[in-house]
Amino acid sequence: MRSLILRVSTGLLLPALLLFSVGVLLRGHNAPGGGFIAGLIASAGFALRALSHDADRARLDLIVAPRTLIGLGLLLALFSGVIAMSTGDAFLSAYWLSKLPVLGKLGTPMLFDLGVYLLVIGSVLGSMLAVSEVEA
Amino acid sequence: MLGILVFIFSASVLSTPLHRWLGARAAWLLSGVPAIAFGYLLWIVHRLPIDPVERYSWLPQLGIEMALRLDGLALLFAVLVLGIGVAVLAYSAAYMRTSDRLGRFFARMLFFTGSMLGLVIADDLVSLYVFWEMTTVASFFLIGWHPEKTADRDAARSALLVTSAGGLLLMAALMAMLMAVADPADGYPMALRISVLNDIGLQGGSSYSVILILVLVAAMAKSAQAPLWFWLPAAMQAPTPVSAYLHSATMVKAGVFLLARFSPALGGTSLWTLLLTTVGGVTMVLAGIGAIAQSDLKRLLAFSTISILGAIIFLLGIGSEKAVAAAVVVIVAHALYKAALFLVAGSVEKATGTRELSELGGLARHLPLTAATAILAAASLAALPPFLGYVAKEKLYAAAFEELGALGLVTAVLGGLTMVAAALLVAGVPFFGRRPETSLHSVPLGMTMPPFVLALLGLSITFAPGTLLDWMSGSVSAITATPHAVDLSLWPGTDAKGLTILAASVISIAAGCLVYALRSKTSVAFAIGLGDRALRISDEMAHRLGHLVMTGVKPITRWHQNGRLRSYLRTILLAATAAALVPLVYDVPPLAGGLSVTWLEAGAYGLTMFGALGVVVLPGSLAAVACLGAAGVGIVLLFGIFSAPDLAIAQVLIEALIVVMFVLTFYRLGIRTVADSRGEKLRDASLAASVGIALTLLVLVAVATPLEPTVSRDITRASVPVGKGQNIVNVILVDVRSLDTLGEITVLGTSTLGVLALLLRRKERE
Repeated sequence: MRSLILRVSTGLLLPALLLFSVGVLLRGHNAPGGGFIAGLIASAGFALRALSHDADRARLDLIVAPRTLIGLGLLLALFSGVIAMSTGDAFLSAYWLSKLPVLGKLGTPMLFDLGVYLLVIGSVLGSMLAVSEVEA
Repeated sequence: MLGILVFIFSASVLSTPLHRWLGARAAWLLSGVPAIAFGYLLWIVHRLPIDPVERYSWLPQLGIEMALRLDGLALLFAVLVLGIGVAVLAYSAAYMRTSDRLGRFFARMLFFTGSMLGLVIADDLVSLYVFWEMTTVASFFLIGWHPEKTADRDAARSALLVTSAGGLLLMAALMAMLMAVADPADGYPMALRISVLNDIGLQGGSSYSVILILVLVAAMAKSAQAPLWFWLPAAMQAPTPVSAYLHSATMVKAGVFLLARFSPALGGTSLWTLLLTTVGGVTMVLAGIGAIAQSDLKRLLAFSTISILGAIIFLLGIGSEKAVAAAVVVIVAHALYKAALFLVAGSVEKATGTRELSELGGLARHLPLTAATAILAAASLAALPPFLGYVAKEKLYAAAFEELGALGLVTAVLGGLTMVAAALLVAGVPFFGRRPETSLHSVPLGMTMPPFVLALLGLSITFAPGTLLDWMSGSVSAITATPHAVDLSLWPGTDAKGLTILAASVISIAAGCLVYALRSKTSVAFAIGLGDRALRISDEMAHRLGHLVMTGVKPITRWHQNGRLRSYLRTILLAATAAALVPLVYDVPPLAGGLSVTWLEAGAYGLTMFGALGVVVLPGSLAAVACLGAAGVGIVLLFGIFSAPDLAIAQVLIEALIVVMFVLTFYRLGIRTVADSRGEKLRDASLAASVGIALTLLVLVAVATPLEPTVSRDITRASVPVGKGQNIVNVILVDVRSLDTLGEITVLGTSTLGVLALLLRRKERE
């Protein structure tokens, strides 16, 4: 779709949606939100880019390949669980740091959520961009 | 010791990035990895000289722990794996210099090194099995180094099949061992250590013969003994360093190692001796004859390896202290000269481009160092004094004669003379005689030096064994569970026995030379041909068996995995419905009744049903997808009504993305709607109806069943203080049930990779 309005607006929407998704990711623990939803919102932003321009444009905006995101997300999720093992606790035990200035609290579940976030983006965009690049 | 393993595996992982960063020089760096590991190993032994053990409890609830033990046997094998690893990797650095996959090659080789090392130092049954299978996997990836070549793929697959089947038998054997040792009251001692098992001994148990046979067949598969040997000559498709490292010096010795490792627990009985000496003896002679019949240099070496492995098993079967000492010396000598000879074969191939003996000759002038290496190594193979191979053969003859009398000696001599002939073929033909008129390439020092060092060791160890002697003695002590000191004397003694042994050595050398000289004469060729025929029959049988399995499996697979998504979906839905309905029929539970529905809910339900009806009824695919979206929106409303905001938001987003995906898929992949026949429509309608009824019944049963209230109560209570979150759904997802979420995202990622792979295949086919 080569509509000028669409091209310009998705260029503005993408950073807004990305910021929004980060916000949803961070608020997930105390209000509706979380890794899955945030990942879907971010994917929607890139999907809009793919629809208004083409898949290559969306891939450029994404910078890293979707499958890298899948691997990275999984690695983060596993790493958040291994942190607890290094001090003798069971895998995926939660560790928290409280009383931080902006974030308030930071913990391994948030790292896990970040991993979920990246993986969802990688999965959704991986499939979508690959399908949209198929020659009809 | 765990540190050494981690170090080697980390080096394996880092090989590819190192190659990309440093280029071909990275290979020299990586060749030092086994050397460093070796040094560290020596330091451990120096610090704790008596059988250091490390234990890591990683599943305490089941009592499973990883135990690593460095006893005499483990130490000797570790020395071999790491020491020959340095030589082979240095050779590979030169051999693979121009390849752009150098990093990946070293990654796989180091992965193998770590696995093999883990295998020999493993003291608990779980680690033993895991490392065993890891060596199988490593071998598969190394044989199939050139996956574009059909021969390489077939060879890798056949090696994988045989050694994996052996691995399964090993697992059965290990479980049988656990059951044999278990006390019914205490349950199974999952933390059973091999050293403890060896102390207890299994010879008296009722399942002893079963365990012995299982272990033996597993060892036979891994060490390519008759009749499971056909995979090893085929595996010679692999690059030369792989053949030298895995398929002569280390991995194929794993079967022999297994038998040696379990010697205290399983050995010493007449069944042990009978089985092992038969298998070993037959293999030793037949493979020896097969070696002489080969025209390809590497296949010749492969068969000679099989023959020597047969000799080692033969000796382990005899089981006396002298026999075990002989076996240990054979292991060391063979590792040295065989690795050297394989690397020489690689150099010859690099120089001339061929491995066929009929096309080789007169290379001594062009490759003097390699020729010298070949002569030294072949002399050890032929058991000429004063090489280590001679000491090994002497001990073999002595042990065979002592325990098995004339029959044993004759068998051993037959094996020995075939090795002499093979040695003459390997060293004589390519380097001396007339040189064919072909252009020769140069071979770098990196490829000629390492084998020379190995071959030289085969000579120098006899005179100055140093600590290697202690290691060999320690190894024998570990296998026989009694202290023993190995001596490497060249003179067998002046008594009648000693003179018989000497005569046997002389006869075998002379006969071997005779066979070599007369090999083209009809009578000798006929005898060789007979042995070769026996090999071919077993190969043929194996191939027929493999073929039979494939032909049996094909029609079933074609029917079940027919590539049509609808057929898969039908199968899944049918199975799920049956699983849900059948128990309900047997044990009719109370169903919830008297459910009240508000107008708002009814509206949402109506929207969902309307959407679903639209999907079924509407003709165009775009309209159907839109109705799917409508059905999804109905569900979103329901989530909202029942105050599940996270689910509602997720559902909305997913609906939007699914509609986009569907449209893209339909239009890009050109999927057209197919009109079904009446019968098909009826069948699908009844399936859909039964799924709907089943799910409805399930829901009614679930609502009527009283829930265990404590779970939701405890989680709600703990959500803020412990989970540090007020959104209980998210707390459950990423904290309380994070392991489930980890599984879910793994599935999500894997299915995406599957989609990517399928679409990539489609692109390649176009």
